Amino acid sequence: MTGARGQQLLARRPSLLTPRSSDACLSVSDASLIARVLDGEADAYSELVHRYHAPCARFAFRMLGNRQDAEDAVQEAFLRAYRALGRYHERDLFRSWLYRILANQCRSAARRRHRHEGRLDPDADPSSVPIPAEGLDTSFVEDALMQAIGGLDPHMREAFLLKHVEGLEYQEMAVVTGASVSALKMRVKRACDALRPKLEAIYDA
Amino acid sequence: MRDAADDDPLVTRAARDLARTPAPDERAVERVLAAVRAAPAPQRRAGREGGAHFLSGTFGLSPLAGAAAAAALIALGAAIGGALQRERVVGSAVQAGRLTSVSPSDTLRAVQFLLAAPGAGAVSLVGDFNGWDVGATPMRRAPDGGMWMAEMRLPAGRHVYSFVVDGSRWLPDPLAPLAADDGFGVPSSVLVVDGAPST
Repeated sequence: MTGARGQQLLARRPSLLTPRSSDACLSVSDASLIARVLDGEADAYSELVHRYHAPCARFAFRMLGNRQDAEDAVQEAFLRAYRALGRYHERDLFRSWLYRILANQCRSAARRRHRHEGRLDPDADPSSVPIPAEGLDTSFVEDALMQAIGGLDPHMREAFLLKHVEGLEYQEMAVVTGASVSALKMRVKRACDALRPKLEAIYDA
Repeated sequence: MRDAADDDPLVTRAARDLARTPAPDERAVERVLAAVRAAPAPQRRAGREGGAHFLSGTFGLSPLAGAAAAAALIALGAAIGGALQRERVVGSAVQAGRLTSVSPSDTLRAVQFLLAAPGAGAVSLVGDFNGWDVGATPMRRAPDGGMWMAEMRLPAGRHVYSFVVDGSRWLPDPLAPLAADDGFGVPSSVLVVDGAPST
């Protein structure tokens, strides 16, 4: 995967995301943007949306396995965060606060879907995952990974994604999920243990 | 903090692949922005905290009872303060007020939760009554800065609760019995709400 498309697909952790617009915005913090919104400059919120939409969309999609559900959850999260901006404490990380709202939206979406459609597709038996040919096709790996994490208990999937994909520290994950750090560590460990045999099959390790 | 999986190459590889995202979906972003533009502009939350508001008739709490409790706690906090060194943290759940009946079989009593934590930036009340959700019941800071408070209407019976300071530090109520360890190593406290009607 090279060239412009490779560049596009290369995701960056939220802490490395640079603002969408010009260099002049690099030093504008989340807290100062929020202060400007509350002072009446509503457009300042669009900068926050641009900063966090991609990682939020990624997390929601990995949690829910469905692009439309993920987009709905992300949109609702940004809207709720906007409405509740007056309650945001400057000491909090906006990212944690936004992810907490988003994680709640994902849980609600999963509960709604569970009631209407039944569970996410059960994970395939790892031994039935086909051995990949040389030169892994990204879509094969992508689909197999989605199947693997889709088979995890939702609490474990959530903790695994926050820790290993979104790159949050455990203290921040506690703010996002409301669970204790020790409970979260246990969930991440169990997720990794459950995933390992499937990952071995996927990557032919 | 590193754990074993941080060094697991399979997990690292899977995480890297899961972190890949397609090109930003500008149309999805525009839909979010359109929804936001249609929403009323958020306001800074006006400082409604204050002894008078908190001790209002909302839950039938007696202003004198609440003020006396708060004063007693602050005095107690000053006495304990030396022992706790870095931070004076004193809390209690004060049962007061009229019994609020929602229905004959669903009787609730107003309970004030108070925590003196002057050094805190944010305090949440968590417990079995709000799913231990750190975001569910943020406590309000009194204007003098030292006391945090929240009110809940709870059914009679045993409740387990705790305070979360600055999003991550769990503190049981120093003035309440400690709950048995629930296996997660999180300290919490026990409150028994009296089911008898107050006179």
